[in-house]
Amino acid sequence: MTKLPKCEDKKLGLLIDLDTCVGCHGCVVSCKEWNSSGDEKQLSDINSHQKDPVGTFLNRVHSYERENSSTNEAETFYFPRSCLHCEDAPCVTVCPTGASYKREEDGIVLVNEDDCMGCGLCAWACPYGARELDLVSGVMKKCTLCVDRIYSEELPPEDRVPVCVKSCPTGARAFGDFNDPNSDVSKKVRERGGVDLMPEMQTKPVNKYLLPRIKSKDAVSSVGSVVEEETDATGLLGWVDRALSKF
Amino acid sequence: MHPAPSIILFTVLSGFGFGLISIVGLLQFLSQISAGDIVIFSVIGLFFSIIGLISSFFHLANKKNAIKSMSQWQTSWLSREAISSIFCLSIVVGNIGWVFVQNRYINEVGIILFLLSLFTIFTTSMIYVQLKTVPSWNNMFTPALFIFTALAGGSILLLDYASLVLLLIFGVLQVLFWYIADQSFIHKETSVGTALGFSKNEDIRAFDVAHTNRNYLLNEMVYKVARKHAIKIRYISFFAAFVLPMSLILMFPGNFSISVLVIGIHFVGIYFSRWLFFAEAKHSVSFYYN
Amino acid sequence: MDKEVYATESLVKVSKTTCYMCACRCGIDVHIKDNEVVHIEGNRDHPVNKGVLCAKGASGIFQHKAASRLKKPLRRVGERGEGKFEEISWDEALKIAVEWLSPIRKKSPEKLVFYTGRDQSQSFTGWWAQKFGTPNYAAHGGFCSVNMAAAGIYTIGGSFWEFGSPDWDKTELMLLFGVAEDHDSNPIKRGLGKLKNRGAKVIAINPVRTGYNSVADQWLGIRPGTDGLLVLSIVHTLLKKKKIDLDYLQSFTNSPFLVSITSTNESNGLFLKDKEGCPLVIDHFSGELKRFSDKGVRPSLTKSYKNENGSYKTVFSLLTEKYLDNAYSPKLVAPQCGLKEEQILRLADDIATTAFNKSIYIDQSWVDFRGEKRSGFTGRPVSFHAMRGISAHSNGFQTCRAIHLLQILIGSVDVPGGFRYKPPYPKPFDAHPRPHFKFSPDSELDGPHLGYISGPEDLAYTEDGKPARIDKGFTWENPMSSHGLMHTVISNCHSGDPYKIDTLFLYMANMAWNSSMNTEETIKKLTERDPETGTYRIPRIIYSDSYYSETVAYADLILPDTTYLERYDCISLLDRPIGEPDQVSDAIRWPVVKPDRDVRSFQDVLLQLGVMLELPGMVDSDKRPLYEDYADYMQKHQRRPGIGPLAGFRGETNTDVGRGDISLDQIENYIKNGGFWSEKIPDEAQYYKPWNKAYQKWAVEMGFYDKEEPFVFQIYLEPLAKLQNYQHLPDNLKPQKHLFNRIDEKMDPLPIWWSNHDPKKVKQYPIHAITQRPAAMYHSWGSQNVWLRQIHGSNKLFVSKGIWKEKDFKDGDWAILTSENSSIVVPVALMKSQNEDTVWTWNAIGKRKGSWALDENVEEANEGFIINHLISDLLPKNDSGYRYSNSDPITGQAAWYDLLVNIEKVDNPSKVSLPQFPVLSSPVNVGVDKKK
Ligand SMILES: Nc1nc2c(c(=O)[nH]1)N[C@H]1C(S)=C(S)[C@@H](COP(=O)(O)OP(=O)(O)OC[C@H]3O[C@@H](n4cnc5c(=O)[nH]c(N)nc54)[C@H](O)[C@@H]3O)O[C@H]1N2
Ligand SMILES: Nc1nc2c(c(=O)[nH]1)N[C@H]1C(S)=C(S)[C@@H](COP(=O)(O)OP(=O)(O)OC[C@H]3O[C@@H](n4cnc5c(=O)[nH]c(N)nc54)[C@H](O)[C@@H]3O)O[C@H]1N2
Ligand code: SF4
Ligand code: SF4
Ligand code: SF4
Ligand code: SF4
Ligand code: SF4
Ligand SMILES: [Mo]
Repeated sequence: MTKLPKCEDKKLGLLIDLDTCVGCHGCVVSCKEWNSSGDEKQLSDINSHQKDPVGTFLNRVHSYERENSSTNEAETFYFPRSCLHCEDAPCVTVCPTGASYKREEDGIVLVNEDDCMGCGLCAWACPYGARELDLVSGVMKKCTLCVDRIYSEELPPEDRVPVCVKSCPTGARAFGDFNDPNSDVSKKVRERGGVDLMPEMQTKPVNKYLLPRIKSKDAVSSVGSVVEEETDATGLLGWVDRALSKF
Repeated sequence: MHPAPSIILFTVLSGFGFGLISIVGLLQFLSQISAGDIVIFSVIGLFFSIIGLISSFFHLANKKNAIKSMSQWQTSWLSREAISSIFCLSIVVGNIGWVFVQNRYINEVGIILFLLSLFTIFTTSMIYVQLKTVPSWNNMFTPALFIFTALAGGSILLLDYASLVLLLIFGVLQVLFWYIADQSFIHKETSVGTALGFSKNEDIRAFDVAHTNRNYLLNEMVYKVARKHAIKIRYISFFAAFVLPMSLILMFPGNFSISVLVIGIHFVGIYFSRWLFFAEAKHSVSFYYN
Repeated sequence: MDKEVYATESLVKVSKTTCYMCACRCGIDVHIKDNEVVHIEGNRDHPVNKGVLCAKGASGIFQHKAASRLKKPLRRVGERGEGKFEEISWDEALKIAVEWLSPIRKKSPEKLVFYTGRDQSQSFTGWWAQKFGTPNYAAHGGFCSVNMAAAGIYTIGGSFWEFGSPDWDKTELMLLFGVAEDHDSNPIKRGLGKLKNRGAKVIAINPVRTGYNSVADQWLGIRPGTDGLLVLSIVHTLLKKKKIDLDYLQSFTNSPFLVSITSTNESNGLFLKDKEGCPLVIDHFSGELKRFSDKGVRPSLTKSYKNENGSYKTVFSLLTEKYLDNAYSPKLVAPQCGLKEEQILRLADDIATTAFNKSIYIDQSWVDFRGEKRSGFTGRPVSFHAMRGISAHSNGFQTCRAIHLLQILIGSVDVPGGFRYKPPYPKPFDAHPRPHFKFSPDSELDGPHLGYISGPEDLAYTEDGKPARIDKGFTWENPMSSHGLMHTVISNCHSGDPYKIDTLFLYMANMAWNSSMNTEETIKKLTERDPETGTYRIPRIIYSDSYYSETVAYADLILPDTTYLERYDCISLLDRPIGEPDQVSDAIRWPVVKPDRDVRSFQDVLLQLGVMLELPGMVDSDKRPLYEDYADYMQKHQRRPGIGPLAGFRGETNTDVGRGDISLDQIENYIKNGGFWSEKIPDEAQYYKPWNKAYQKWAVEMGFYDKEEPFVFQIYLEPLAKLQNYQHLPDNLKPQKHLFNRIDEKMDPLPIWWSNHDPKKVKQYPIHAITQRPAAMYHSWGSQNVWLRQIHGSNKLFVSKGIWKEKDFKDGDWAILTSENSSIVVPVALMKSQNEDTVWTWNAIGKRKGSWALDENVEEANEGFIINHLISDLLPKNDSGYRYSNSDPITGQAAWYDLLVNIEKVDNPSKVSLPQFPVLSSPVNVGVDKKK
């Protein structure tokens, strides 16, 4: 059903820390791999060895420069982009076949591929580019929040997290329930001020982002705070002698 | 947005088809049309609507599930469109059969067809209107434009002077739409800053790409058309869709073969207009690729 | 429906082995279904990666299934470089190889030149070369990062690289010099994540602000090649402000040692020692001359000494004099580094504040090398890490030494919060082997090839005074070339200098493309024929690769290797080990799937060849093989009694660690344990390892060395002083005259800095051009990977704001880059956050048409480019007309990043980068899409 449920129990999603992400693309590839299980048909790649290779990815990492107005210095940061599992998911309501849906029990937005007709409308409706039509299978693909991992009975319990979260080498990605004020992700959002992407689109994203810290501010330390008066070579050696006598 | 020929053809042809059907319906209701003309023009309308629908079908990447698109009428405008167009077309077929066999018609069916086909055009337009991601579509000029484009097109074959009025309304709306669109190509609240969680006016640029080649998102939603180029196409479109048809109808009122020519020229203009409708529309995802 | 549960068919089995895509060597869980790899993820228990995985590791499945995999042994049929081959059987391939190698070994083993590139089994391949008897063996370290390894081992008995790491849990300030990815990439990423989480401060010193540098709290966009100057300026400032750790300097470094400063003294520049060779110091309290290591001695850092041979000063006095010189003042240094004076002062201040005001103390008694009890571990929570931004310059050795000097001055090596060794390090240079190079017909070499020299006596010359090694390693031109000089091999083999060779045997190095300087010239050298004989100047080339790389086309015989999931490998403590500061580890790879092609693991093949050549150590007295295959070798081989390639699960009960008898279930136990073994260092032995009795004892028990090897840090590097003292050598051992200046200037026993560029050249070529490793690509291999090539399918030259404006570049423009060596035409892009005088690009994205099973129209081969063409392998003629190799004068490390260029906009309507080369024919088919 493309009517949006009220998710009162759980709102599962990702918290992505742009202050820590080094743009390594580890999550991009881990995601692609888990979600295709080594089968190139699941998330297709076209022109794999030719010009213009194009494949379906559920997560892509972008690189930006931001001009810091106070220092006039450009700062770089990286930005992983995937489905935000919006509370008011426009991608779901536009879907004519009912293939797109949001789960009541945990808020995960999914596509039932057996129903999808590949019209692409949901991708148009998503402000964030989180949906990609797979041109080989003809159905819409999107981040599943690794629903087949987080509830898996076969994986060891500690691995029941999205694969991008598990694999992220810097720990810039966290997974949790944003409805639970005591979850780690909720706490971090409060502490560090988690933000929504394009709040003006009124999608109410579940995923939150932590923005890069203003670097120059943190970096300023008071020059000369610990330094003592300056010495020349003889002065230094004299000081050393005196100091060594104390040991 | 990518101006996909299948989608442009779909909106243009089905628009024309339903426009014609609605005009026929209206005339049928008002008893201003002969039974024979109803059959002929309904068949033409039917023909164009079906070609339009087929062309939209070609746009689907997974055609075998097309039938399921009728299921989500509660939320989905595309679903509503599918239902409404099928419903409308079935009535058209029924009407044609009835009129053909009986050689007379029921006026009330005319009003139903009139409203239903307008509604169908409206649902088509609403597919675009509902997208907050594309502000140039996300306003009520879009359905007005769609409806009057359809009515003007549909009227050309049937009415001479009355179609001038419809064409005139269409022309005004078209210009207004372009004016509106020009304002809303600039996303008012959205920027690369808000796309990344910062405030609107951050000075941010992508220095490297996420993937070195194009991908579905870029192909589908990040289509860039040069401003100069677009203006030129607007002139062509306006001239072909509005100026020429107006002049020709004024010069040769009631001349059926001229109307056919006018339709052809008008089509070309509308095709360009729709091409621009897509090509000029800026989707919010493009901010990630600034 | 969506797959609700993974692997409902419980046919999926998980095999735990080790990743291969870089030297980090993470643990991986390989999910296998019906003998097909379906997924790879990180092994949570593995000490290196604790479950995380990078983009390369996560796409290992395409490394394993690559379309470019070679399928059968190949014999060249066309001309070299055409790429035309015929498939032959393994029997035939081995027969050919033995026909070539056997006579060489009998007559002149040095005519086999065996270099092994990105080898992860160097202790094995080196051993094989030693048994063969050729002096000509090394892996790729010489062009990679020997500056880091050598400067580290010589100075602190360990190094950055993967042999040590910041104390991620305790450090408060980390300085990162010239690192994009590093060998230790996942541990560094995990570490940076920890620092971010704790709010510790990271300062990045790098001309470019990407990756790790972009998350740093502070970034210094330094001018390439000037880090040494920056660091010595910090040293200057800390000395001036008296912010140094005197106890540490006095107790653990050679700063109290007495250096002869009388030039007529035969031992000028050397330490004052007693008859047993023990360094002497002046006791601070008694003023008497004492052995440094005697109990109760408190060495003076300042008092000088005189005897009949002349005067002596302490190292500390010398260094004070040197670095307090105004030339190192931040004011004068800043403009040379492209920085501001305040930035240097602030950096010095941050270091001092953190080291001394935030010091850590761990209450844990321990006993030092003098046998004196200490009550705890003092920690200076400032840590450093540095890599190729430092090492790939020709002043890299001294620059790296300068960084170590700075660490030592603030007392932050192997202390809580500082830089910590990973076992089996620390190990001082003199506990490493010396270089061995004495070859003779039909016999093995006198010892391992590579090592650390102590002075001119260890240099590798033959009796007639010629370089003994084809790469001229360990000669006066690059005396401390501890990893050899792979980048000179093709050139020297081609010119027959120092001698002619017969067979060049390469393994896993793309020498005809991205791992050579001056690629175009290298290709010529591989294909040039001697006009007199008509034969190739390099008569025979054997190569082992798993894939159709550019280099395959240049070999005469190809031995196709397996992929990393199809073979046994050994990540050994005898080699470049893995590990973490608080534990020792090693690991294996094992065939988790069977090859579907007629390929063999290179190690197996090497052993087979050894048996056929009847090499000692590989056959018994009846010429029967001693090892069935490499796996058998991994379990049965012993370097020293009780010490084998694998340190875990030894002995009859598989419970011995480090030392122990051979176990035939050893591999089985590794597999059961997740593919690795590790053992924690005792608490008392965790820090201050070079001087910590408990650690030394444990290290001997583990077999890292056979006797305890405490040592002092070499602030003053005596082996360099010995080299500089060449005037006192007999004539036949003296360096050639044209080297005198260079030795006098560059081989300073105290870290120094010089500019790598002559000012005239800077005028003509004012822009620095460097490369960076993309996190999601491994050199050339990544491009065959269907997923990775979508992320990095082509590269652009990133141009700074100033240059962009000056040259009026626009998006989509192309530029011609010109160096002293040649020019290339490339696409440009703007990047603001980089040093103003620098351009850079991603390394090794450009591909040769026809290689790697890629269609010839791919972006990699058309837009993509490598800047190697611009980098000369030889420097321009010096005053005496000699052309040095483009290397560090001390270690021979290739100076990739010394490159200077000029840039101009060009019209390039074809949008193809230049130069282009003829399309290679291919023995493998272009890969195809898998269709539904
Ligand atoms: N993903 C990935 N990982 C790899 C590899 C790979 O190909 N891909 N290769 C492996 C290998 S073989 C190696 S050797 C290591 C190397 O690992 P790194 O040392 O990280 O090597 P580079 O990418 O060369 O990065 C060098 C950095 O130094 C900077 N730099 C250049 N010149 C200077 C300078 O003068 N001063 C300073 N301060 N910085 C400078 C460059 O901007 C760059 O950021 O990586 C290993 N890991
Ligand atoms: N411009 C520029 N050039 C550089 C550098 C730079 O920073 N800038 N860095 C330099 C450095 S530090 C390094 S280390 C070199 C690295 O350059 P290379 O040593 O050439 O490394 P790769 O390109 O990874 O190529 C290694 C070869 O090993 C093959 N191979 C891969 N897996 C296997 C296997 O399992 N078995 C066998 N037998 N073969 C295999 C690959 O197919 C490839 O042909 O590049 C150097 N070149
Ligand atoms: S991010 Fe896009 S795809 Fe995901 S729920 Fe929101 S609108 Fe839908
Ligand atoms: S592409 Fe599939 S999921 Fe998306 S709107 Fe169309 S039918 Fe629904
Ligand atoms: S949660 Fe799973 S599907 Fe979503 S981005 Fe992460 S790995 Fe991909
Ligand atoms: S894996 Fe982590 S650090 Fe790497 S790009 Fe993804 S979020 Fe960033
Ligand atoms: S860092 Fe990546 S490529 Fe290197 S060993 Fe680890 S997972 Fe493999
Ligand atoms: Mo390297």
